[in-house]
Amino acid sequence: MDFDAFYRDTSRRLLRYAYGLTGDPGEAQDLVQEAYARAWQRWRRLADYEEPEAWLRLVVNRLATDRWRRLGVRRSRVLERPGPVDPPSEDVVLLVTAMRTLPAAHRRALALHYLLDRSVAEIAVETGASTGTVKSWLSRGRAGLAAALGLAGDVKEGADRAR
Amino acid sequence: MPADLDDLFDALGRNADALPLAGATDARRRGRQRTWTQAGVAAAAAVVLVVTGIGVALRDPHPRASRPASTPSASTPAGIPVVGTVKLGTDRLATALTAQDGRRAYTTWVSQDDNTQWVLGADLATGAEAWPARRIDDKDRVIEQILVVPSAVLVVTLTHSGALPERALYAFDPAGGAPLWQDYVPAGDSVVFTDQMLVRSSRSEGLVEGLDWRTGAQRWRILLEDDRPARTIGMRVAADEERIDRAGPRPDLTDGRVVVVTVAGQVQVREAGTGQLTLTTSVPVGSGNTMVAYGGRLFSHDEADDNGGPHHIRATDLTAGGASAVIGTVADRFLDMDGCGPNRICVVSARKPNFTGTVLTAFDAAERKMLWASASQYGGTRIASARGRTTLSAPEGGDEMFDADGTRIFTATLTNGWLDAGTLIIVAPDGTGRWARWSIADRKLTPLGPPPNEQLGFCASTSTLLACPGQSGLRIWRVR
Repeated sequence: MDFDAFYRDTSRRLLRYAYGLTGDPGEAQDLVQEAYARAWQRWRRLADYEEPEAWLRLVVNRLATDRWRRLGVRRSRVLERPGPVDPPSEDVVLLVTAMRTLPAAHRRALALHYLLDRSVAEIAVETGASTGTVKSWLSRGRAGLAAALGLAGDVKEGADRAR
Repeated sequence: MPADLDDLFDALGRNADALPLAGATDARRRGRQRTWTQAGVAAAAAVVLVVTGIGVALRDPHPRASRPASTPSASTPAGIPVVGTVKLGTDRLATALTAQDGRRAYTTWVSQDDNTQWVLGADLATGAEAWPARRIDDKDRVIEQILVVPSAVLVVTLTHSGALPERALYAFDPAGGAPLWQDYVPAGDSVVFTDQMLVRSSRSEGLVEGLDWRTGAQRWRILLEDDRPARTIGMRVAADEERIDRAGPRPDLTDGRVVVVTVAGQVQVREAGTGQLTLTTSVPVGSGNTMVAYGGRLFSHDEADDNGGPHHIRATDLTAGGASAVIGTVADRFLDMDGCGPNRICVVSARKPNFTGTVLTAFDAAERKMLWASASQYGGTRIASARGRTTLSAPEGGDEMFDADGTRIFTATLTNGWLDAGTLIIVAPDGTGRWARWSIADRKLTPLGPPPNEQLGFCASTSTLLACPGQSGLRIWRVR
């Protein structure tokens, strides 16, 4: 598999995921570039992996929870941001603010489920957790979002997507 | 505002899709810049000048490596002739390891100043810098090992910069220090260093491969997808023991064979240079982490014995036929084993009831019998052997050496380790703290002089020279 083609096919999805985890456009862009830089260093082996994209998500996941690195990213972000970014809508601001209140595992499950359309079973495989645990993460994540959004009674759980 | 999470996340996704993103070229450039950074030490030295008066903090990165040299209170620098000192650009070393190839010493260290990692070559004969410090720029890593083969100096770190823990391998040209290649292997993989090839096996990938030392390129590859490789072990022979030095037993092996043990217990002997299969046999499944390939045999202990013993020690002939037999047992808790002379395996085990006391037991694989057993004076757990003599070292300090017949011929609470296969370098037992050479064959003690008044990292040695990284740099002493 060619690295450039892999990048072209997967980078947008990874950016979605990173944005969902961090809620910060600049940090998400940087995490994605960092993850692909590390993938390029390991490309000889990674190209043979069944799920190299899952490897990238693991890297992004780890980097996103690495407080030291996040501080470093924030320091350098102004210079590294590749281009102008349109301001997010009010809904997005509220959602990412609410996401930041959640535990990392809940955030990860929600991002995989809602942004990458992964099923409960697929999330279980990727995270190494049981399907019951994943369902619990999603359920508690939704409840956490509802509480943070102040819409506890109104937020639909999106059960139609929970396969 | 929509109160449906689907709508909210759709909006978030659309927002993400609209973000600009640099291309694959930028990612490649970033990855390339990440690894190799050549930088002179001078710039770092300028910073270090203001950071003085604080001692180095040295950690043991490798439990099987020999311990740092002791630092008795003697402060007289005169005594042991110094061949030369190469400045490292900092006196604040977090970790420093050294290897030598008889001509040069190579040291790798992590600076406490900025957590950067470096590697440098020095000429042993002159003590001068052979090639300048090169920075290894990688994140989240712990320095594990440095070793040298004829065509490469290899620095091994444990890194968390990928999705899962990995070992990062950085190869340099021994002649000029130019970076040759780098690679990452999952931490659970086996990596064996042989003179012919670097051999890796991966259970998750179901393969064994040989990598060229000079280029890092794959030279051969064996797929074992049905019965995957659990581990691969290098064959240690007497010639390897002759190369033991202050850094301990050499990790790079001269024998051309590697032993692949599969999940189902199949044993494959393969040529390290080509991957060619030369013998197949089997062993009981388990006990993998403590298996030893030594002198043409595979030694293992049967895992079923793990809880309480007795532990059956098994020898499997890898030269012809693949016959396998239990050669003896040890009681209580098995800890480790290693080859300790022709046809011999030495096993260290911990004794009930509290398992702090240990016993070293020697077996003869040819005769299938126990030769001797000796209780350790210090609770030693680490074995190193050369010319039939075996040292047992305790984690908290204390070394003892056993002769081939089990006689304890040396004990010390402060030992620097092996200088070469026939000599130990020790702290003289006269209470002065001076270094001394101790000849194993004739048990002759030769005082050398006071050690430097600084804490040292992990040293390497030849029969005549000792190279140690420390606050003042990589220093080389003439000790014979």
